[in-house]
Amino acid sequence: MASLTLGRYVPYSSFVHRLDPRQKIMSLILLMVAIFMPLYNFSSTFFVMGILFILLLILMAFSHVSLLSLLKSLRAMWFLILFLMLINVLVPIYGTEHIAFSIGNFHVYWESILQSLKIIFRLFMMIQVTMMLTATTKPLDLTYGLEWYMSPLKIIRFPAHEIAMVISIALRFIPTLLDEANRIMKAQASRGVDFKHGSIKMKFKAVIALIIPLFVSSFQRSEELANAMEARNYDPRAKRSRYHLLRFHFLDLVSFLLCAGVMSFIIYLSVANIDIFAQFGVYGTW
Amino acid sequence: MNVLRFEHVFAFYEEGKDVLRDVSFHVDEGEFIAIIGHNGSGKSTLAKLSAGLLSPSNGKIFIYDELLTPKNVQLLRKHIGIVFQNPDNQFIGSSVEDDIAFGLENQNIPREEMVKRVKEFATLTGMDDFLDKEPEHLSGGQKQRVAIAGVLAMNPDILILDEATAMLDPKGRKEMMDIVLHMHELNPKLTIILITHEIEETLKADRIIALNDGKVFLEGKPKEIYAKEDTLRAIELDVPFFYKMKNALTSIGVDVSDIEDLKTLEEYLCQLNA
Repeated sequence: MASLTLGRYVPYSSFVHRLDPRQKIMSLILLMVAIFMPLYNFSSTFFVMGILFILLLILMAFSHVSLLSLLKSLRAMWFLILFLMLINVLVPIYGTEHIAFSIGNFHVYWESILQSLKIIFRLFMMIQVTMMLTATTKPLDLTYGLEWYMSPLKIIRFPAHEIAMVISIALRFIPTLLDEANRIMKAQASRGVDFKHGSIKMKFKAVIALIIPLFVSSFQRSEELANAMEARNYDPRAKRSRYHLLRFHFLDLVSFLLCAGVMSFIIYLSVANIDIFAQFGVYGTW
Repeated sequence: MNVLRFEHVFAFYEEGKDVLRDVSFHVDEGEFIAIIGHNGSGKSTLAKLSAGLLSPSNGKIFIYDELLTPKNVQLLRKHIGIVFQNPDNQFIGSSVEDDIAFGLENQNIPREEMVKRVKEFATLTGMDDFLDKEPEHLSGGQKQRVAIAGVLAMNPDILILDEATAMLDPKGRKEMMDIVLHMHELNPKLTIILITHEIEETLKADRIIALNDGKVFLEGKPKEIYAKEDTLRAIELDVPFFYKMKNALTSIGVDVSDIEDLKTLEEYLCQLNA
C-alpha cells in the first residue's frame, strides 16, 4: 500500500488544484528539463537547484502536498542511492582533483561524492515535481489532459479516446475491486484459508484463492459494464460531445509562463556555461 | 402502434440450450408491463434482446414496427433505456454527474443542454445534492437512482428495468418504484417494462407476462393472473398479499371481485365485521 499512497491525489481547493491539467502536465515536462540541465560546476548546480527546490517547497505548502510523503520517497529509494554512491566512488570519471580520503592506495574524491549527491538531488526533485502534479490533479483530469495531448495522433488512427476511456474506467473500478478483494479474502478466510501465516509457498497458494475468484468476478463485471455502456449508445468511433470541460484560465497562462521562464533561464545558464559565483565575484568554486 | 413486438423469438447463449423458446408478445405505447418468472425463466434475456444486446437465434423483434437488425440496432436502441440489476456494474462515470452525462455524451448533445438535463434528472431522482460524489461514497439505492437518471436523461420511449431493485434494501426498492411511477405520471407516453421477481411491485402494472422455462406461460391483467394462484404456485411464483387475501376471501364465499386495492379491502372487511 505504501507505493499506492505516494503521490496520491489529495482533494483540496488550492490554486494549484484548480489549474488546467493540460497546463500542469506541460509545466511538469518543462521543469523536468530544467532539473536535468547540466550547469557550469557543482556549486552552480546546487545553488540553482536549491533555489528551485525551495520555490517548489513553498508551492507544495500552498497546495497542501505532504512533505512527509515526499521524504518517504527517499526511503523507498535507499537502494538506488547506495548503488549510485558506490558506482560513483568506485568509478571516478571526470575532474577528480580533490581527495576526500584514502584507503591505502585507493582514493575517494570529493567530486565523486558530489556527483552522486547531484544525481540523487535531481531524482528527488523529479519525484517532487511529479508528486506536485499527481497530488493536486484528479486521476481522471490527468487522463483528460493526456487524451488532449494524444488527440492529434487520431489522424494516424491512434485510439486516444479509447485509451482515455479505458484508463478512466480502470480508475473508477479500483475502489470497487478493492472492496471485492476484501470480501473474497474474508469469505476465503472463513473457509479456512490462511493469508497471514505459513511459508512463502503456502502464502502464495492462499493468494491464488483470492486471485482466481477476483478474476472471475472481474470478467463478469466487465461483461455487464459493456452491456450497460452499449445500452446507453456508447460508440467509441462516433462523435461524442463532452460534459467535462478543460478550461485554460489566466492563472494557467501565468504559471505556464513562469515554468517556461524558469526552464529558459536554466537552459541559458547551461548553454552559456555561466559560472554563477563568478558573477558575484567569487572565483575558483568547484 | 406496438412499441415493442416479439414474434416467435428463440434465443440461446450456448448452442442447444435455448433460453427463450417461441416467445411472442407485444407492448403498446404508454403501457406498464410487468414481466415475472422465477430464476432462469429467461426474463433478463428478454431485456437484452429488446435492447439489441443479444440477437435472437430465430424469430423477429420489432421496435416501433421496425424490424430490429444488426444494421439499425444503434438507431433503434435510442428508443430504449435499460436499467440493470447490479448498481456497481452500470456506473460508468467517475462521479454522479459524469455518469448521468455519459449517455448524453454518446448522443452528442451540446454541453449547455447536457448540463441542464443532468441537473433536471438528478433533481427528479433526488440525487441533486450528490452531483460530485464518487460511486464508492454512494449506497446501492443511490447508485441505482443515478442509473435511472442517466437512462431517463436520454429521453427513451421505452424504459426497461431488468431486476433493477433486486440488489436493494426495501427502502431503496420503494424509492426506485416511486421514481418509476412518478415518471409514468409525468409522461404517460413512456412505456415501462418492469422485469422483476419482487411480486408486490407488479400491482400497479397494466399487464403482466409470466414466463416459465423460456416460454410465455400466462399473460393478462394483474387481476386475471393473480386469480390463478395455484397455477402460479406450480411455476414457483408467489402472489401479492392483496390478491392472496382476495382469493382466500372468494374461496370462503365473500364477494370481493370489485375491490381494486388493499385499503378498500381493509375498509370493506371492517364494515363486514361491524
